[in-house]
Formats: sequence, C-alpha cells, structure tokens
Amino acid sequence: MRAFTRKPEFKLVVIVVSLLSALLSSAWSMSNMVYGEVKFVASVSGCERYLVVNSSSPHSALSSALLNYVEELPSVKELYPQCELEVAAERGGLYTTTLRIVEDLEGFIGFLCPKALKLGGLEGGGVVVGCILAEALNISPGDTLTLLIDGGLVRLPVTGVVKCYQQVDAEVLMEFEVARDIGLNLSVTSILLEADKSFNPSLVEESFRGVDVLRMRDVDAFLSSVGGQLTSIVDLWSLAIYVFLALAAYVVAIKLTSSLRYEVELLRSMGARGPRLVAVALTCFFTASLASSAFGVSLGLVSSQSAVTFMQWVGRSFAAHPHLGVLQALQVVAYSSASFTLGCVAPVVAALRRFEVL
Amino acid sequence: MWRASILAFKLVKGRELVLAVAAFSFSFLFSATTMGLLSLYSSIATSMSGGGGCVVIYDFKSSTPLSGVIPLSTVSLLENLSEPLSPEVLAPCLVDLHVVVVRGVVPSLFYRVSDLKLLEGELLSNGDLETALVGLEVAEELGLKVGDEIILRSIIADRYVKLRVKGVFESSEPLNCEVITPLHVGQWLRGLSYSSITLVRVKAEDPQALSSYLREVLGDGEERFVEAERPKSVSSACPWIEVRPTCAAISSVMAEKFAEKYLNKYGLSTDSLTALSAVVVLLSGVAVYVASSIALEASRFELEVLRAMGGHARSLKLGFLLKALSVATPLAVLGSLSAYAYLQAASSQGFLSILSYSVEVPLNPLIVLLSALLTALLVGLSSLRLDV
Repeated sequence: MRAFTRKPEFKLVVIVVSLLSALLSSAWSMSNMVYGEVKFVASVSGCERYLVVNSSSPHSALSSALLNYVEELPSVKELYPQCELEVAAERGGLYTTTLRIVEDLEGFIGFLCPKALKLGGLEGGGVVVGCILAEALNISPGDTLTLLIDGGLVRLPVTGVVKCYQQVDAEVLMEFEVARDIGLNLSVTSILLEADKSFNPSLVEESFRGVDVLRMRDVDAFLSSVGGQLTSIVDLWSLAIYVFLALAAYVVAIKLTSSLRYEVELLRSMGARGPRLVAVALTCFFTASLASSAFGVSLGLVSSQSAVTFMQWVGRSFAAHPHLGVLQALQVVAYSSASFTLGCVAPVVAALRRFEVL
Repeated sequence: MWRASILAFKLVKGRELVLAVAAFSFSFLFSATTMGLLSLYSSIATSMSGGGGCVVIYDFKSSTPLSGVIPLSTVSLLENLSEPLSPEVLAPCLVDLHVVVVRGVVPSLFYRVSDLKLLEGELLSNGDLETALVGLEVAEELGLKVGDEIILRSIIADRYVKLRVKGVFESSEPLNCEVITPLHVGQWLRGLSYSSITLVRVKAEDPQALSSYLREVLGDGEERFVEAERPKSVSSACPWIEVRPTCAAISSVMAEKFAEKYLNKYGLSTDSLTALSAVVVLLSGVAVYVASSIALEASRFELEVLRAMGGHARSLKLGFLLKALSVATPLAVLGSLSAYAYLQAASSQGFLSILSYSVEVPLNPLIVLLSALLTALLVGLSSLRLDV
C-alpha cells in the first residue's frame, strides 16, 4: 500500500474520486434542501378528513357492511354518507349537474364550510341549490326546480341557496327523507368523514376490497411524490457520474499500473502469486478510493453549506439547509469506491499480464 | 517526406483506447450535466406560465408560482387592452397518488390565448360546471378517457372535487401536463373565494413591450389598491364572480421568465448552472488530459526515433495532435449523443418530471459541438507538452 501511495499518480486517484464524490454529496445535500423548502411551503398540518369511495368507479354503490363498519370505528368523529346522482336541471336550458343526497343537510353544510352563506332555509321538504347553479339557472328560494332524474321529470321547491366555495356550489342538495318521498332508488356512493389521528385508512381498505380511503389535503403523499421526483433526477445524474468514475478509473489505473513494475517484481520474488497480486492491487485502489470518497463527501457538504451561508449573507433567506442523511452519505462513498475499483480491474489484469505475472 | 509522416504517424496500440475512453466519458458527463440542467431549468421556467408568447400578471410577493393570489378585479384594469387575456387559477392536486396541476379558466377567454388541439370529446364551454379537459400526457399517465370520472384532492385546501372528463387535448405548450377546469373549480381546489385568482395571461405579439407597459400600468410589485370593479369579460361568462376592494402587489413578466424569479430565489439561476457545468468540465477534463499524456508518453520512443531520422519537431507534434484528435473528437461526439439518448430514455420513462410536467430534453447541437471542441482543446493542451 505504501509503494502504491508513494507514486505521483496516486494523487490523481485522490483528486478524481474526492472531487467527484464532493460533487455528488453537494448535489444530494442541495436536493435535500430543496425538498425541505417544499416541505416548509406545504407545511400545513395534514387534515384528518377522508373520502371513502369505490375504487373502480367513484359513483358505484358502497356496501352497507362498510358503512356500518366505518360508523362503529371509535376514531371516526363525524360521518356523512352521500348518494350522488347525475341529473339535468331544467330552467330555460339544461344543466348537467350532481344531485347530492345526505342525511342531515344543515350538519353537512356546516361540516363543509362553517361560515357558509345561506339564503333561505335548508329544511322544508325541497332542494337546496348551490350559488353557482342558482346563478346559472336564475333561481332563488321559493322557485320550483325541475330535475331530470333517471329519465323522469321531478318538480321540487327550492328552499335555499348556499355558498360554500366548494363543489356543492354547483350542485343540487337534498335530504334522504325527501329523496325517499319522491321514490328515488338510493344507495350510498361515498362517505365523507372526519377522524382523529388514530384512524387507519389502510385497515378499512384491507377489510373491504375495492374501496379507496382518500385523505383530504394529503401533504404527505404530495411531498413523497415531489421527493421521489427530486431523488430520481439526482439519481440519474449520479449514475452518469458513476459511469464517468469507472471510465476515469480505467485511465488513471493504466497510468498508475504501468509504473508499478518494480514493486510487482519485488512482491513476486517474495512469493506472491498472480491472483493474490490482483487482489492486492485492487484492494489498494479500493482503499484509496474509499478514503478519497469519504473525504469528498465531507468536502461537498462543507462546500454546499458554505455556498448557502454566503447566499444568506447577501440577503437570501432559506427555511431549510443543505444536509445529508447517513444512508445517502454511505451510498455515495460505497458507489464511488465500487465504481472506481470496477474501472481498475481491466488495467490491473492487463498490467500483470504484461509483467508476466498472470 | 515528413509531411507524409504526419499522416503515417500511429498511436501505440491500447493507448488509442485510453484516449477514446477518456474522450467519451468526458463528453458523456459534460453533455449529460449540461443538457440535463438546461432542460430542467427551461421546463420549470416555462411550466406554469401556460406557454410562450404571453405576458403573465402575477402576485409579486408570492414564494412559489402556485401560491400567488391576485384580485380578480385586476382584469377590469386591463379591459382597455386590445390583446386577449385569460384570468386563471393554478392549484396543485392529487389524482390517486399522482400530482397534477389544475388550471381553472374562463373557457371562452382561455381559448383565445392558448393553442389547444382537441383529440377526443368536446371543449369546455362557459356553462360547464363539473367537467374537465385533460392534457394528453396526464390522460396517458392516468389512463383517462372521455366520460371517466376523476377525484381531484387539493394539496392546499381540505377539499376534493369529482369531475367528468369532457375532452382530451394536445398542446405544444406545457398545458399538455395539466387538467383544465372551469374557473370556479380551480378556485375551490386552491381554497380561494370567487374574487381571487392566481394570474392573468395576456397574449401579445411583442410580449416584452407589453410587459413593460403593464408594469407601468399595474406597478412593478409595489403594494397598490385595486378597486372592486367587476370585469365585464369575466362576469358575462361567470356571473357568480365576486369583487372586493383589495391591496395587492402585482407585477408582470414574460411567460418564459415567469418561474425564473422563483428559481432564482433558491439560487437556481443560469449563472449557478453554468458554474456547476464549469466545475464538471474541470473535473472530467482531468481524465482527458491524463489520457492524452499517457498516449503521448507511450509514443515518445517512436517520436524520438522519427526526430533522430530528421523529422521536424513541428511536423511530429502536428502528427501526434492530428492522430489524437482523430480518435478523441468522434468519441466526444458519440459521448454527447449517448448522453442525449440516456436523458431521452429517462424522460420517456417518466424519471424526469417536476410536479405533473415532464421535462423535454432537446438535442442541443451547441452542446455536442462544445463537448467536441473542449475535448480537442484538452488534447491540444496535452500535446503542447510534447518535447521532441
């Protein structure tokens, strides 16, 4: 090993491996920083509201067993089974919209938007119309709305108009009781619920196949998707670097091994055989690249932190800082040294053949 | 005779391979880095702006392109413009576990500023309430077709929306990677009232001149009072809109530069990317330099023999240089093309994307040329050391 490190070409191994590892570690640490910034921007606490739907089609009926199961879960605090039907509202023209049927309309509107604006009443045996649909149909409380449901025309009094800044603003709302009175065939197509932190959506999905439990404002899923995109971009670049490192190792190893004839002869005279000499040479390369890449990782981290510190001095502000996870650091060290050593195999074998050792 | 020796000169066997490997690897890394960074940068910079040829009016104080909010009544300040304009809301959402960007628009105004080609179904109309147009890339990724229902879950607000796919479109602009909905759907998903939007796009023949004019009219990021005036063009299509007197910091920028401001905030500028590419050139250039030196040292004996036979030093140097260049330059071009193929493959497999926008990797002839020139320069530099 000492003979190896004394060679002037050894400096090349250290320079190439450490600087490329530094590049990789700074790229990873900066990508972690960007991820941290995204996390900060999206740092609203995840909501504990969920939508339970049929995974094959969002308008397919859910089983009553599922409804009973969810109702009995102690973690569920509030729950609204809904039946959604596609209807056409007629008044001068036809507007395709959704008729949303729920059990407790007042409670449902309050659940969606506690500060909802209401015109007229929400009860009284008729329908409630969302503000956008009401504007489009030029309808107000007290008017009659004609709905085309399953091929049949139904005329219903409009008891109120609501503004929630949500999808119900473009829909017609009705209570189950009214729907039964007019003879609609009802089945629950989705369940909107609020639960505490102990609620486990995957437990429901496992218990009832073909059911999706979708979390509202799912920041975790968003972050994991964005994090995955960042990781795959840095991974692609890392792969290019590792390929380059292996090819650079080939060039450097040719230069270094050509100057090792004396040391090889010495080792052979001491009884070392061909395969053992290959192992010794590769171990030397591996050890040198391992140490160099470990140094490079630290160098990259320090460089990126210095760059960010400098940017803060000139007035930029960041919510996150460059950092490197233990696994990421180990990965850079391991892959760098492995790809470098791999690139050295052919030149080492070729050199030992040339020296007539193999 | 010695002119002939220039052409007859041969590199020592094996050393040609070293030079070829070094030139290929240098060019591959340089091109992969430069092409990748430039493609990423331009994709992000243009992604949320909706496409070129427009001026974007946006919230100057927002920290990301998706989080800006400006009053809808800003549109009323622009109604004396002859150029078509489109008020829009951007909202990041999840469809299953895929991130998609939803653009809420007033259909009749949107079509005047955007270039869409309908592939399937119908276009949105102003009276549509719960329907969506899906860009071709989103449709392919999520397997959507006309008539399908999608559940969009907002990232910003605790709500969801069920929409029916009314049409699938293709666009030469980044809109291909978006879901287009009526304006109110965008406002629901972004958690806004009916009096706020994210941005206004104005189509212009000379975007730069219009952008400068709009900065004079609207201010350049200074806080200003916007009166509650109903924009006629919007209220005729969406009578439910609201207007409120609001203070806002509004500015305008060419569409191509829209996201640059946000990228620069995080230190990602063309300068920093150039610096990174330069670092890569320096590091990987060492390999080519070393490889040339190896080839040179291996050829020293032959060169000295030729010199002893009366060959001119200049001719011999030139011979070495030409031979080295004839090996290194084609391999540098090959390395550059391999990097392009590598990035193309990654992009087509979906490994290169930001939010719902896929990153297009164009073949940049300038980068191919630059990598060949840099390789030639490094080989040339090392041949200068030749002492015969």
